[in-house]
Amino acid sequence: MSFEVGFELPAKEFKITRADLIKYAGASLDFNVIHWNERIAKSVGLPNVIAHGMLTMGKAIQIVTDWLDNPAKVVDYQVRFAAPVVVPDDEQGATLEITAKITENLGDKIKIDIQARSEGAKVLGKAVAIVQL
Amino acid sequence: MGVNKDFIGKVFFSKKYELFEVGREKIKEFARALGETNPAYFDIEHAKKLGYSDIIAPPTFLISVAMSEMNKVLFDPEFKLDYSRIVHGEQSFTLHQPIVAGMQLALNTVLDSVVEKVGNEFLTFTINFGEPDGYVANLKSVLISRGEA
Repeated sequence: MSFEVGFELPAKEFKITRADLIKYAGASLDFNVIHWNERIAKSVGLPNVIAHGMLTMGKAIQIVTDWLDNPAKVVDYQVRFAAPVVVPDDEQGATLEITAKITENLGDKIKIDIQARSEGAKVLGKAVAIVQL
Repeated sequence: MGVNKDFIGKVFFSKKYELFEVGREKIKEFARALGETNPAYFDIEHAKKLGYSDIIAPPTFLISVAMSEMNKVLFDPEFKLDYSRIVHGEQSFTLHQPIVAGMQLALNTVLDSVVEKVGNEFLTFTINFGEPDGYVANLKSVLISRGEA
C-alpha cells in the first residue's frame, strides 16, 4: 500500500437510480420531496429529482474506505456540493465517477483529494478525506 | 422574508431520548442504502479482527441522527422555512473515535449562523456527539435555502 503523494487510488463508478434515493431517504431520515417527487422538484426550479448530497458524499468515500484495511482510519471528511446529481426516471439512473489522489503526507496522517463527476459535471468541490495511518 | 433569526445560537438538546444509541441494525441499513459491501459494517467477527467490540459505522453514518436533530429547527413553524427549497451546501465530519455499534452518545445541535448571499440563505449547523469523557464527533452542515429566482 502506497502512502506517497501523487498516488492515485483505484477509481470507482456507481449508478444511482430512483430506487436508491428511496432507500437512502429511509435509512438517512432525509425525506425532502426534491429527492423523490419530480413535480415538486421542477416546481422549485430543479431540472428533475436530484440525489441526496449525502448519498453522493457517502458513496464517494468508498474509494478510500475500500482501499484501507480499516474504514475507521478516516478521521475527517468534508465536501462542498458543487452541482446536483440529477436522477432520471429510468433504469440507468445517474452515473457517479469517483477518483482520488494522495495530496499530502503529514507523517501520521495523509490527505486525500476526491473528485466526483456525474454526466461530465463536477458534483463535489473541495472533497477531502484525512486518513490516520 | 427569510428564516427566523431568533433561532441562531440556541442550543437544541435531544429531549425525548437522553442518549442516542448507535444501533447495529441501523448501521447495516445505512450501509446497505449506500451500496456498501465492506465487512467492517456487517460482520462482527471481521470488526473484532480490526480490534472493535462490534461492527463499526461508515464515516457519514451520524448524518442520519444529525438530520433529525436539524429537522427540529427546520420544521418548526416559527422558523418559517419552505423545506422543498433546501439543498445541501457543505458537510464535514470530524471523527475523534470510531463509531461502534452499542455506543451511547449525547448530542447537541446549534444553528451557528444564517447568511444571505444573492437571494439565498446559508444556514450553518454544528452537531456535536460525545461520551462522558469527551467528543466522539463534530459535524458541520451548511444548508442552502434557495430564494425564489
